[in-house]
Amino acid sequence: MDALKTVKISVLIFISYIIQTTLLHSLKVHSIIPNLLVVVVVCFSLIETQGLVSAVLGLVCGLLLDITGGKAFGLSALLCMLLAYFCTVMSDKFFKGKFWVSMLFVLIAGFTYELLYYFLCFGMWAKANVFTSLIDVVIPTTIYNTGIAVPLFFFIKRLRLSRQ
Amino acid sequence: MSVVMLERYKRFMLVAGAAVLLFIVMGLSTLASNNAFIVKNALGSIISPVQKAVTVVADGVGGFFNFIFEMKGYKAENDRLAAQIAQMERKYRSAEDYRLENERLTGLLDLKQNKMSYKKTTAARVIGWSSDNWFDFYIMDKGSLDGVKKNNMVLTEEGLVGKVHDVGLNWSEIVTIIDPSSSVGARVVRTGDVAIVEGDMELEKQGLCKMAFFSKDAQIVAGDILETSGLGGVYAPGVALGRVTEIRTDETGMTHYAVVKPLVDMKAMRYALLVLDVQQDE
Repeated sequence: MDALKTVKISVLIFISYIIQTTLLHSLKVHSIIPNLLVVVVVCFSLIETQGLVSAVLGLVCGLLLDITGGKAFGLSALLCMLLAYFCTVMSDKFFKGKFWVSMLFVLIAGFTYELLYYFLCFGMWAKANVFTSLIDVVIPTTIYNTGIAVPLFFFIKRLRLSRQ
Repeated sequence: MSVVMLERYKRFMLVAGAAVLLFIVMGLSTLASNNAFIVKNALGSIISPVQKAVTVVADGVGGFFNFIFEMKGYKAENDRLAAQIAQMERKYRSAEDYRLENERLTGLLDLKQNKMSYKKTTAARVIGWSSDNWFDFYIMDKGSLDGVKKNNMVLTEEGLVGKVHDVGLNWSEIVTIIDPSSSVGARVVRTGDVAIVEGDMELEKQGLCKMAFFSKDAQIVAGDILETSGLGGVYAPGVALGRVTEIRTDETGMTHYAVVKPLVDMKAMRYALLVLDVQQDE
């Protein structure tokens, strides 16, 4: 990744993180905020061709999420890194960043992230009901994520972060 | 094995190695006792001033527009508040009579009052919120440099907010009483029954929590006020906590729990008091 591309994506990540932890709380829908950084990671990974670059970006975004969320530092970093790597490998092999397939992947990746987060933080310790968690958190967050992924996907492409 | 395959294998192994390293980091972070895990502390200390600036500006802009939009309603609001003040004054006079009566009876019984006073406190501003929908965390602009420690109690003038969960140099993370990971020893003011008030995933989204594990004979009704019992050692006793809104039966039909609305409006909270040291008066 060249220097300009690195600076652009770093600024995007930083702004997204600040928005997610401050302004987005004024835009809650039924007490739910979208996971902006996860959307950035997945959109970037679907456009990127090198799995290792996506994994590093996922790691950085995950570490930021770990500062202001969860109980075990490193959980979001682990999930974001693996999701990013997997998204790039799948996109590069099968659909090369095509829009509609990418949106389907944002939906699946967002759902997987929230579900794994639930199981590792609550489900394993039987602290919350799985159906309640799915209906109250996992599904609304996934839908909200997919909604904001549409403009964000094109925005990241326009930032010339893609291979085009 | 071809060169391309070997290269792919190497990359995969690098990601797998990083994943193992992250598992170790997760384990180490849970061992961090008083202050936040070092990486979290460092990153949080750099980012918290930016969060503070954004929140201050956003609150200012939001407040200005709210003022413009709500101007029409001020006259009606003023009349309603004047009527409310008159009604509250009547209630206050009645309560004052009860207080004097209580004082007299307490004196007769020679009971020693267990008063708590807060020796050292610091006011802190909310500068950020948790980045996910699973936890109810608030980021405050005071940290270990201001004397904040893990498990310090957090209050507003309305009542209990929660406790400090993690501390960085210039920031601290507080967990509220409605968070699913939270539990507080509570006492019903009217009846003296003790129970546990804990966060619940479903109720959290409505800004509520629940009181569980109370005795079958407890005569708890909607409207009862709860305060901290002091059991558990984190929260000082006698801090107003919430109000019971309804009594429900759980899915098994065997036990009851009370739905509790915290006295503090968590969504509107912008400032809170961090209690750094509690002193028990003799």
